[in-house]
Amino acid sequence: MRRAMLMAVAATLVCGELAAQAVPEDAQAAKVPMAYRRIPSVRVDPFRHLTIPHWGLVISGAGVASNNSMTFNDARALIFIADQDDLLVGDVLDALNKVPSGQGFEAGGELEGGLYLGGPFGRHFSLGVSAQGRSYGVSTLDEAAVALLREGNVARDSFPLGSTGAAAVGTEELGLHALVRFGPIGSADGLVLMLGGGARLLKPVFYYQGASSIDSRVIATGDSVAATVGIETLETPGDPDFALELGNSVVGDFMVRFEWPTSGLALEASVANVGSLSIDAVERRTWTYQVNSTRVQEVLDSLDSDPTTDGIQFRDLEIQDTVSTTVDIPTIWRFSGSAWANRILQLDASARLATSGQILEYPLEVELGTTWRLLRVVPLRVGLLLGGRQEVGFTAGLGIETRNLFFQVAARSAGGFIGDARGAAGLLQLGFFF
Amino acid sequence: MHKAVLTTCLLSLGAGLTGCEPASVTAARDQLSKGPRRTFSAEIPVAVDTFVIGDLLTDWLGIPLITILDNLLAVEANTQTIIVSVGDTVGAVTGVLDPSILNFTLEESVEFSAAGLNLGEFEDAAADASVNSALLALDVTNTADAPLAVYNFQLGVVMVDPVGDTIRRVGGVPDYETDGTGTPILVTAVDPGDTVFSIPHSGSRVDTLLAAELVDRLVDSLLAGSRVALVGSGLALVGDNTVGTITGADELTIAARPIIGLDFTIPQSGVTVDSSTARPGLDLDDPNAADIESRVDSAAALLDITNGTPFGLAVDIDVVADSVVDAFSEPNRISLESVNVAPATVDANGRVTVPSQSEATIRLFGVDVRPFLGEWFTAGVRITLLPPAGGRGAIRATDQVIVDVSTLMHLRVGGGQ
Repeated sequence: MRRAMLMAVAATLVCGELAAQAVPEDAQAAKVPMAYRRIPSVRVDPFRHLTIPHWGLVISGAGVASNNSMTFNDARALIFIADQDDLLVGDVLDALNKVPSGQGFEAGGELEGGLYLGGPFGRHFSLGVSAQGRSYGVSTLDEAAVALLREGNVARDSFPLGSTGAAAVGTEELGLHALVRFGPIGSADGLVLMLGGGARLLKPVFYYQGASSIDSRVIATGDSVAATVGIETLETPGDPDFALELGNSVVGDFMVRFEWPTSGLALEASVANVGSLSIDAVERRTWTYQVNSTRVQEVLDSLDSDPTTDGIQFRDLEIQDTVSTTVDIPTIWRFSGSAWANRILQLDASARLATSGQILEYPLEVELGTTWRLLRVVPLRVGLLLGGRQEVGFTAGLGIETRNLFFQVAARSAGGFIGDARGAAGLLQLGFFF
Repeated sequence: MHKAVLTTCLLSLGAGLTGCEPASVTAARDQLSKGPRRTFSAEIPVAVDTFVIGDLLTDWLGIPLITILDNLLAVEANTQTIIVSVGDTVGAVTGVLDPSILNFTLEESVEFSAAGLNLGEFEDAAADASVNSALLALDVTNTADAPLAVYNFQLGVVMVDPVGDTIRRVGGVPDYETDGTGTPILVTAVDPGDTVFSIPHSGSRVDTLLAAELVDRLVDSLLAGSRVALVGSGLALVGDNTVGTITGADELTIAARPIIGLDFTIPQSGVTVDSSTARPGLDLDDPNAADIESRVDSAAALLDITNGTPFGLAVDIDVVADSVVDAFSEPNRISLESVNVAPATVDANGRVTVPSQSEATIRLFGVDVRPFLGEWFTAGVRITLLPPAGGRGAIRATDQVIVDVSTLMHLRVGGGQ
């Protein structure tokens, strides 16, 4: 991390000495406020609207969902067969076959939506408040557990459940962010420096985390099936009266951005979600299941009801106690840059560093984008996504960026194109500036 | 839970937005099968069964077996009773009974029948085999108010002529069956440590005599279709010089019950027993079963057999769908390859000392796996006991065959099949 930051600073200093090619004055580029040059990608970006140098109100919503196994076409086929009441065991095997070898099944998603209100106080300072709802979720089925269903029990007969589990958290957020601008420094073509910071007050709405215990495993040999499964769940009560008792937390967001407006260059580093989320009044439940039988059917039957067969223990989820817990939501580091290629084309690059939290893990992801301004106020965006959970993806977007109206729609398919994608993201923003 | 719902909703929404609905279920399956070609290999336990040979034989014979010396299993034949009319022979007497006066030569017989041996389906095997262990159980009752003592009390087997008389030699003595040396096969009953066989007045006694050769001859003769009688003989002395009473109706009854130990020298063709047991299958409905059947790359039944009998085994397994009484009589049964299992290690008397272990893999073809996929299937196990080295083997209550059966299936998955 330190090395990456040093690289970014070094790059900034080098670029500060560059006599970059100026954007022609009559080019579309020269007429576009730098604020609109920030990539409107689908991502956590607390400073998205704050950089716009006008007072305004923005309504936005975004969602990301992906998995590492099934494409949309696969899901469509599976749903279609299920709708026909024709789902066979073999179909399930084919579906499980989509889980890549050496990996477990992973699925994750994020949803966010909210309001932003803010604007500048003079040329050098902007302030914005936001109210948002946000949720993260992920589920994993450990590779060993998948292997039992995908490859069978001949090559191996012991299947630890390992990292199998699911987690989700939803928050209401109230944010206050500020941006300070310096520059242009030295000359009219000089560097513009932006420093942003702020905080969000997070109030948990729901939280769920379920995971198998470390000794959970299924042993399926040729003459018996034995399973020892322990599950512990942490879950906020469903009763909304408890919502006030779930506590509050504050996380911080920071950004530094360097712009050379006439050269069309910009470099930015940001970090979001600095902090953790504390949740009170979480109910802890446990569930245990043990079976050891020489008959598969007996094992299957034991899952249907509370069995009395010797050797089988079955205990339903029971509340053990109520605890407070702290959730490490992922701290997201991002470095991005943009440059003008010609009168109508802007090139963008952005890297999100690998990071992990208690709910979500982000592999390194690089996004390469292009913004085409055939009409100045109607940017068209297409791009390529590398890395991340899906290795490759495609992005596209359309905007309307006038002085008073801001509209943005963006979409992403991950792991393939359209129907062959294993994930998708969408972003919709509508803003009115005064 | 929230996450799962969220993901499902988003995937469904995404699928709805981005993909055209498949034209048919077939097209949908084509899409699902576009994953990498892979083999799903599962070894599924079918049953671990312990076949206690004694239980199998009990079911097979339809009568209970008993345990005799050395835990050996045995069949009890029906009891036949030799009746000696003491009152008719010595007359009615009251007073001091002098045995030097009141004595007579005892010689009576009773005929046995093949049906009374209770060997049932085991008859053929027993006819061809030699009975190496057998007992003759006696229940002797004296109704007279006077003790009886029988000297040289012997029991032997004698052929019976067509009119029902025992065959005798010149001189009138019974023509007892003889062994290979021409010596009559006789069993002598005596009191422990004495030379006389005593029966108390108005009382009875129970004895068990070792009588392998006699019973073997009795069984062989009866199963060969001959009429055979058990003859009891000796010198009977009535009274003990004390006061007693003999009435004209007093009798001495000798109830004899052959006990045939399952200790045979069995024929080369072996002895066969079978059993059918219904078991739960994978409980797949017909479409699922047909789908799985179509995906079978290869399959096998894996047998791990522990032979705790002194006999070699030839194990035949027939499998039929559903629950039936006798798998071997079903026309649509599937017969798996026969598996031969070596006998257990035995001692000099044919008793098991170390069970033998055998593993076998029986290749299954396509339709062979179908019975295992339904709600129930019936596995018929036919075990043929083969003669061990030396031919002799004893079946004890502890003798058992453990058959551990599992199925191994390699199913085609993905690969755009």
